[in-house]
Amino acid sequence: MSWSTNTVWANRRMRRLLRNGSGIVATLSLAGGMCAAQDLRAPSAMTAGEAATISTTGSGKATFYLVGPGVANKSDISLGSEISLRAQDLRDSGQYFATLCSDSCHSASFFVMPAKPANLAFLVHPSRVPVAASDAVSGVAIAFDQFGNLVRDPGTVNFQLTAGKASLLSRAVTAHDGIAWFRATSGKSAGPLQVVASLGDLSARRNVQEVASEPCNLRITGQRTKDGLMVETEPVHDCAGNPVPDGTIVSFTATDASGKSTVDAPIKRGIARAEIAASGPVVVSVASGVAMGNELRMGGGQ
Amino acid sequence: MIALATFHIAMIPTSLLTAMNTIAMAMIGLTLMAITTISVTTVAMTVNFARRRRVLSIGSSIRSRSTSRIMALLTASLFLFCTPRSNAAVNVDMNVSHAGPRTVESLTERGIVRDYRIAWISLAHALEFNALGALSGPFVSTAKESLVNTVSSQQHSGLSTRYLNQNHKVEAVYYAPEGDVIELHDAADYQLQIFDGGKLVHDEHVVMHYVVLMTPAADHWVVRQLQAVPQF
Repeated sequence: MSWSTNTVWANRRMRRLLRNGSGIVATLSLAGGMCAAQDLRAPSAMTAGEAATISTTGSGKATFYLVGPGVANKSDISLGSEISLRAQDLRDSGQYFATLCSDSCHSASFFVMPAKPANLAFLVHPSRVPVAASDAVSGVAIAFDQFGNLVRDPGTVNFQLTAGKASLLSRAVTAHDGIAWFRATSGKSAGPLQVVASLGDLSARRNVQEVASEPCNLRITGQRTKDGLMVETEPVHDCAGNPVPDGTIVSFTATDASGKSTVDAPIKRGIARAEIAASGPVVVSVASGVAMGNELRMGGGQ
Repeated sequence: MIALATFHIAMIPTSLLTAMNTIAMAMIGLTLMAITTISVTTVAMTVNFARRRRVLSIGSSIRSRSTSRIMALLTASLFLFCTPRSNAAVNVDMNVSHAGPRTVESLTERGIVRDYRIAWISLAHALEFNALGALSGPFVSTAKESLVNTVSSQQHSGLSTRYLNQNHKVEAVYYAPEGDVIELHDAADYQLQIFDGGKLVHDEHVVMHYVVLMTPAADHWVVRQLQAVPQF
């Protein structure tokens, strides 16, 4: 707690009186001020949302000011009595200035500390993540009290990552300045990944959708049709065996005597299919993302 | 003009806020200067006329010099009055070398310094003039609620607070892996003045420690938490 004394009024009054040549009046005025000296004393520690009192000394009437985060109050008080600070005026953690003015002004400042943690803000990224991606999932937990004040020393936050029934990660992290965080590799199977942060009785849960990674081992088959070729992939999987989601684009490229043509087709129900207009001998290749598949060679009469 | 400049401030990019306020103030200054010039000229003409009638020996050059001095003094006073004091001195120095786990890139650093400075200019403006509109751009969530409550409370009790000569030594202590939140420690010092109407009731040079949470918005950083602490 820091203390300061403000004698703005007294100094101004003194200067004005001296300037006017009323030295005796000034002396008396200051002496009078000292006789009725008022002071105030605030508790050393206050907690957000709890009522408190400030004691005053002196006698007579005075004006009391309380200025701090979320509050700027003014009230008339009697010196020598205790000033009650309402709980609702001390909801925000931070530094408050209490000023008492009668002949002169005296100030005291004090801190209101956060209450116990009541909320856990939990930011998790990303919302969809490919399987087996290194350091791809991250989370940040920030502790707040019931009034939204940052609790700087909330203790240890436990992070748990679960995919299905398998636990991927369980880590206890000590929060610094109210923040605890983790970073982890995603699981190996597609599906929902549950991410939980817990702090004492508090917990926050988020879901990350793990999706198949890039296609792996693309294989195509094909057959001649009346107008050309019909080619299709086998069910497309990533390298961990997860089916690649529908909508993923697969590119078929046909090379024949007339040149090269490419057809893009989305995966539907696990398989991508395309019809290519070609005559004579033709070579068809397939690719999706960075993955290449097998080549299919078909003669003109087949 | 101030009201116009801060009207619908939420829809205005915060980077324009300072410029708009400055332009508004300058316009007020120019208007008042013009009015003052006309008034002073009229007064000077009246005085000159009276003096001519009484003391014809006084030279016109002396009179015009006095008039010029009065005009210069009034103009300077008006400009000093009209300059937004809250904008006058807000220095922000930032150190990002200890931030992690993500590295703060130089463009990000510049953006944060710019927006944090604007936030303090807006805060000072809002609390000095009890102008709620100034808080809409740079502050969100708890920080904004707290400041809005302070301004509303000041309006109700007739108080105002002035933050002068602000210096902020800011250190980034945490930058999230995905860059969606940054935590700052701000060792700030400024002259804090509390007014009850026109009466100064508290005047102190304070050193404050703030823990700040900022998050990226569409095109700028916003202050989500601004909390004074006894020490870091």
